[in-house]
Amino acid sequence: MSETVEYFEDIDIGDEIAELDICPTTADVVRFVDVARMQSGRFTDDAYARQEGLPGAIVPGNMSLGFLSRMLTEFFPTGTLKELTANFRATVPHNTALTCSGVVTEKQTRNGEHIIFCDVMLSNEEGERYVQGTAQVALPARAA
Amino acid sequence: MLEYDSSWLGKEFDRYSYSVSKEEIVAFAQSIGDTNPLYTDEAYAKTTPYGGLIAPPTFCVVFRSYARLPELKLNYGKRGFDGGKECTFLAPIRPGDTITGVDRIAQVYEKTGRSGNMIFIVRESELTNQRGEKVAVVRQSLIRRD
Repeated sequence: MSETVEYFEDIDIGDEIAELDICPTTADVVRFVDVARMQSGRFTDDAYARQEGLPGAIVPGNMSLGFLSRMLTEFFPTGTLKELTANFRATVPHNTALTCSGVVTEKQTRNGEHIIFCDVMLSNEEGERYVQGTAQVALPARAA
Repeated sequence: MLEYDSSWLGKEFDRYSYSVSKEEIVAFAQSIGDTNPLYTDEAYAKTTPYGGLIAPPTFCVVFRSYARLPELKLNYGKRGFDGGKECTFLAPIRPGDTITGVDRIAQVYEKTGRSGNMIFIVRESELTNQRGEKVAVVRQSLIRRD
C-alpha cells in the first residue's frame, strides 16, 4: 500500500492505512493540555495522578484522538474526515512509543459521497491497544 | 439495576461560546505534530478548495464546557472516567469563527462487564458557528462505577 491514497477507487477493503509512529513526551502533553483547555494534574503531574488512582500522569484521550485524526488526514490528503470514534480502553502513559494504525473495513457511495470506513487503533510496541475506534472518510472518485 | 432521574435526557444544561483565532488553530496542529500546511500556512490554504486556513478536525474538542453534569441521582457509580468519544465533523472551523456549544445528556444506560456493572452517561455537545452552521457533534461517554 502506498503512503497516501487520493481516490476512492485506489483503496480496497482490507487495505491498511500507513501507520503513524509517535512518542508523546511530558512536554508534548503539557503543550497539548494548554492549547486544548484541559489543564488537570492527571495529565501533567505524576503525584496528582497517583492520588487519583492512576499509575502516573496520562496522555489525554483527546490527544490520542488527535493522533488518530492526523494519521487519517495524512494518509487521505484529498479526503474529508466525516466521523471518528474512539473507545479509551486503557490509560496511555507519557514517553511511550505508540503506533496509530488502521484498516479499511467497508466502502460505500451514498448521497453522491464516496465513503471509506476504517477500524483504527492506538497501541504500544507490545501490541497492547490503548484506544480502539472507527472512522469514516469521504474521498473524491476518479469517475466523478 | 440502574435507577436515575431521566428528566434531564435531551435537555440543554449548558451553553458556551468561544472565538477562534488563527494562532489557536496553528498551536493545536503543532501540539499533535500535524504539519499539514492547510492548518498552518494561510498562503498555501488559499490555494486549496477550502480557500483559507481551517482547523484540524479534532480541534472541536477545545470547545469545553466547564459545567458539571446535572444531578442524575444515580443509585450507584461513585467513580467516573472518560470512556470514549464520537465526533461527527460537519463543516470546517476557521479563524474568526465564533463557536457556540450546547450540551445535553443524550443517553444513560447500564452495561455489565468483567469488573461488574457500569453506567454510561453520554454527554452530547452540538457546536454551531456564527452563521448557524452546525460544525461538529461530539458525544462523550462518561463511565461511572463503584
